[in-house]
Amino acid sequence: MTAADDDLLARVVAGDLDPESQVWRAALARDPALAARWQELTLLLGALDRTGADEREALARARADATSTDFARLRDVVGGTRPKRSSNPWWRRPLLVCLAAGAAAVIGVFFALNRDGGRVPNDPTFLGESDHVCLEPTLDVGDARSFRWSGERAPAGDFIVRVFAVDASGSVGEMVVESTPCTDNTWQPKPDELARIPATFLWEVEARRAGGALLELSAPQLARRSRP
Amino acid sequence: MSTGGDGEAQGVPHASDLDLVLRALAGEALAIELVCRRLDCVPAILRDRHARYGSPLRADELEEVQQETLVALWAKLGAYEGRASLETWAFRFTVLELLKCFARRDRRRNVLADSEGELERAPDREEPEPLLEPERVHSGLERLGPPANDIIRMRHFEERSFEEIASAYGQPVNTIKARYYRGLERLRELLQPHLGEERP
Repeated sequence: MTAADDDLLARVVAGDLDPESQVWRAALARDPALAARWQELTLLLGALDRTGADEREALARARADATSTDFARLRDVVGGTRPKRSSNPWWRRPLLVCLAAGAAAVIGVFFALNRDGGRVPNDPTFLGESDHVCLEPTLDVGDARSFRWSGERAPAGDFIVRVFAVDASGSVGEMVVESTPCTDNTWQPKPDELARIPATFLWEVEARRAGGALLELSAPQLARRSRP
Repeated sequence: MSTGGDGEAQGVPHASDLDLVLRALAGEALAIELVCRRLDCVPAILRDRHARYGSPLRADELEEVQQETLVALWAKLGAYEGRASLETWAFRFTVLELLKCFARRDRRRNVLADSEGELERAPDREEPEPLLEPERVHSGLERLGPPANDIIRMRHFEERSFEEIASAYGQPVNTIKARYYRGLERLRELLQPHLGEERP
């Protein structure tokens, strides 16, 4: 196969040259080695697409099938073990560990809840596919009347917003509100929904394909209502 | 805390997830809670993939694998680099753990059968299951290594455009396209014996 044919193949694979184009068809007819390689690459691209779809569908199923028991089991594991971060003997002193962990948790939660004068963190949440980006909620005067995010809606798809309670210890509780499907990048809770949103909460937005299949889920965003 | 957008410019496609994990590893209670909420789908992933393989494990064996996987996943959380979303990383880790479990089970059976002697080997002894297409592809991608495997995954698994991938890596689109093509060519060589086989 010549360097010119290799270049043509690279352009077709990258989508820069139409595989139906005359120049590409002529190259395939001229060079059986090129045709054989193209056939293998076509099979490989199909296998990659199927594998990707399999992974996305399996993840969506798993997310839908996850139970509170699964969460509790993971929580138990986390409570019993910690990832290895340091071999410093300081960590092996139980009293110091308890004191430091308690202090770090209190300080961490305090700063997390009070950053920007009680407003939400301002880090956008990357939603993954199609470069969705979930921006901070616009709680400009401390209420939760309008949730906004960025990211392109899938064709005929929609978004779902979920709000979870956060208690004073920083633990995430049950979901308190789930929006109806949104076709815009905003959601305004109804009065009864607003009443269920506590002072401190987490929210996340799920982008869905047409038919309701999960496309992507944002990382949860911490928010605080200064004027519930 | 870094932003998703900034992180992408610095070449970490899922910077906000990485940031969350680092905060959890540092012991931040809320971050740990959030990571747990993101990863509570792991047992369901195991159940799903186990069913896909024809449910070869007994209920108690599957239960044991779930526990071992959760412990291993949490212990390995420090290896997460933000190259895929947290759930996707956990998905691949979980599938790998399940396949390892199958391999261990097959080895145990082999040792048992060998100790009984070839003549006494059970005639209906199961042969190891051949890898299914997705696992072959995953295996090939692992052998390919980064960044080519990540670019291919972003293109086919996350359905991202070349422009989006280039933005994530902070590199010119043509560089990404060239790496993608070379990566595909290498992957084609790695998977060549299996290309064109009938789909499972």
